[in-house]
Amino acid sequence: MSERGARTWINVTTSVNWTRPPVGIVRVERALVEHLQKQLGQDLCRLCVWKDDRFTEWVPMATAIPPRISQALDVIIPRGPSFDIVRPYVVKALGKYSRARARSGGTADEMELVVPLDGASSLHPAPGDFLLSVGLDWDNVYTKHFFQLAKKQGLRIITCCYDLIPVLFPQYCVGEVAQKFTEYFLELSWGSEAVLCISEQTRKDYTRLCHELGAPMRRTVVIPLGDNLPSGESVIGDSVRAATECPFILFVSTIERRKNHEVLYRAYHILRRRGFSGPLPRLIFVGMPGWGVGDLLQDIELDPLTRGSIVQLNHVSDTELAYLYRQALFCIFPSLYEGWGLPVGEALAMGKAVVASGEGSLPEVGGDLVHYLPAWNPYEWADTIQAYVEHPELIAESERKVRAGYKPRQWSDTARTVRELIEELAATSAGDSLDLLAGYDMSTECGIYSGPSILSTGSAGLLLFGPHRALRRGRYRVCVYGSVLREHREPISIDVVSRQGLTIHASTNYQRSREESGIDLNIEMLFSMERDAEDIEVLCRVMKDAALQIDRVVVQSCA
Amino acid sequence: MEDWAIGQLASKDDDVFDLLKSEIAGTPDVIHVEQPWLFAFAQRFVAECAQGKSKLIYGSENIEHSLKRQIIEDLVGGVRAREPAHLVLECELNAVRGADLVCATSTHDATWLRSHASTEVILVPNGVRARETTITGIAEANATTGHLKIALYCASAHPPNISGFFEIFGRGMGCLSPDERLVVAGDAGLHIQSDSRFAKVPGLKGRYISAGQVSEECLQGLLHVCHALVLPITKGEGTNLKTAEALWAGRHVIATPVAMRGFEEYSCAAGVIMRNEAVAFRQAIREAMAKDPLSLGLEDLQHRRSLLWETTLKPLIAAIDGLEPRVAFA
Repeated sequence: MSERGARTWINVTTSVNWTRPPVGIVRVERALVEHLQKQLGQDLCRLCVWKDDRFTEWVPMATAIPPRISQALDVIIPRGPSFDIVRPYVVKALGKYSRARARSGGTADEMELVVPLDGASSLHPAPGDFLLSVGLDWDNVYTKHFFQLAKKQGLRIITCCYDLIPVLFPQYCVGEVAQKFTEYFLELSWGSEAVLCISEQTRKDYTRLCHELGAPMRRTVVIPLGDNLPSGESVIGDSVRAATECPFILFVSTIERRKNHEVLYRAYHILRRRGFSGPLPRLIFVGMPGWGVGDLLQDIELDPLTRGSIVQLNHVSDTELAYLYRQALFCIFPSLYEGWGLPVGEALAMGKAVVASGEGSLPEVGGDLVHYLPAWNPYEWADTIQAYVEHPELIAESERKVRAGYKPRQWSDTARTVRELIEELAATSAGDSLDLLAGYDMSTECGIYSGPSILSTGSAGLLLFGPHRALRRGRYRVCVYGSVLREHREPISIDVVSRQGLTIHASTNYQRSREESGIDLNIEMLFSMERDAEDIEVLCRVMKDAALQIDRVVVQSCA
Repeated sequence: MEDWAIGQLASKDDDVFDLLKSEIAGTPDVIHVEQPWLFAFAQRFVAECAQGKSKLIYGSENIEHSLKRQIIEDLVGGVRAREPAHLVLECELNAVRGADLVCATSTHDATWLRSHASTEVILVPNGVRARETTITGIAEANATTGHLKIALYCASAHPPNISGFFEIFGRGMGCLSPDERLVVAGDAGLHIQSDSRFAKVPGLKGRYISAGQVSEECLQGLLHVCHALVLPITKGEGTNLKTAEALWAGRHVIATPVAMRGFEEYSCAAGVIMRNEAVAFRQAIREAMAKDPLSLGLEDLQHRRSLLWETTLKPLIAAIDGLEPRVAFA
């Protein structure tokens, strides 16, 4: 094994390509970057993006680049996606040169840049390193590579399951997504060593799906999502001020069918039709309108009973969101299903009374601090809203309980749970041994694949080569197992090589002695590597008329 | 119902009867009729052309009326399946009652046949021929599988083979890793692939290889290189010939109880997993694929010799020897 510990690489492909204000998953990815880098240190916790069919280190571009360096950069490196990764490195080099030139009083016109010989390997995750991928992975091609990255490069992949809504409730999603997402969860299960789940409900849903499909059950860990709102210092906009001039109930969520805005509209309609003449608070929906709610939004707009009582706000800043939470009479969340339910946590963290449906994971977020109602019954929502409005002491009592009982979840705790998982997995060895079935995992030139084995056919040449797998530096024992099909005492040569055969780590010529009998073949040899190898290979050459069967090749660490 | 209709044609249409009888040279001592469809033809042949001298054996492969009813029910519903099932039952009862000897392939079938037969019903399980695996066969198999680790399903286009496949795998093909494949050899391969359900099974498309009809040599190659054999048969009576082949191949076998009918003594044999439920079946495949290649001990190998035709046909040979010759018509 190598002296250095395993690194953790966070796949930030989603965040790097995200150009809008962060949504939930982007927020999770960025929060984990911030807190894991703090907890593990930047050397052991690196960022990477999927580029040219592999994960490559990502160094964020300095936010403010001096104009002269920016000009020089454009001369050296063209602008374009192909050069995105190299640009930050050149900015760093130019900055260094600029400082050196300044120190020399403007006389230095050259600078030595040393590129370490093993630099290439430090730019990519190495065997035994962890890859943490928690982004919009179902929309990215790299997910399909996880299984091979784990198998061939020895990466230890940790992924995240947010919810199984597209599989369990495809009717609330756009198009026929159930199959696509089921396939995604299959990729996840086969490619991951561990899967983070954002709630017990999600863990239950995910493991049930794996069970149904016959997919492997991976280690699952529930991570608590932080519900501390990011602080912002922007001003409160006119639309938010206007909407909050009178008392209001707040519902924070994208406007889509699953979130069940409809039950609230119906509850308001019922309250008005009942003749509820009291001061019915305004109902504010904060969130972007999504798919499948056109008719509902039109009903809300046209219904004379509710017109003016229900207001939508979109593109709300973090500052405005915090303001809305503070000013709301109470918060409401009637969703038909959730994998977590961040707005419920945020509202509770702000000390607000919350009325929510008891669906999916919501009871995990709110515990006994939330007033739960059946998601499908608008009469119960109407009754509860009326009760809260007519008896403000109910709200005050609920808020008192929330303030006394709710412990806001911190993103640092989310990161700590992930770190503990990594440490636990790191205690189990990985990336330092290979157990290969010759017929499936290796190749032959002069033999024939025979299920798990490779058979010689009597021709001379390479009976066995491959598997071109990554292996960490260290000392290893190689064992080649098989059988001799016909007495044959010609030598068999075995080599262990890497870098496409340029580096030979060990060689041996095996010849059965006259005393050896039986059919078992068991050749052992030792080798050491001072650097990580990306393409370790075992070669076995045979002479004409050899009659062998190679079954298994085991490369095992001697640490 | 084509089988039934052909049987009716061969026995009732004089031109077809004459054409078929012209294929038979001489007067056989014994005529073994496999399946009931041509039994009426054989009866007419014995009466008209063999002077009533030939003995008739009915070789039942299935309880046909029950199987046909299931197939037709799946296609057109229960009400419309009643009449065809009744016609098949009549055809089948004619064979059972008219035979001098009846052969069943499973004890389950034998029980039903005995309740209707007027003669002896013997158990003659399906068997397998010990064939040699050749380098050419292995090479042909590798060309199909890309030398990946495979689970093999050998099946004809017989409807229960297709419906069983989708009953077991329809929810998703999570039991094979991205590096493993399910190879379907035989006509079932293309039928499954062209079925409208195929594209809707998560994970199936990328893990499925239809080998289609293959040569005998290639089939032996596939049986040799496969890691496991699957028998997702959920309907049907009788025994499955492919089960004998699978057990003889000496690989891991995952089968339903229906597929293991007639081979119950192997249900707990080394490498054999029997599962009834689709979920449990898929999990058993994953577990089997993760195991080392099956290596049978000498005792197991010896036991499996009872699957060879030379063993399974012994009761039939003895029964034929014991048949009393018929008295010729005057």
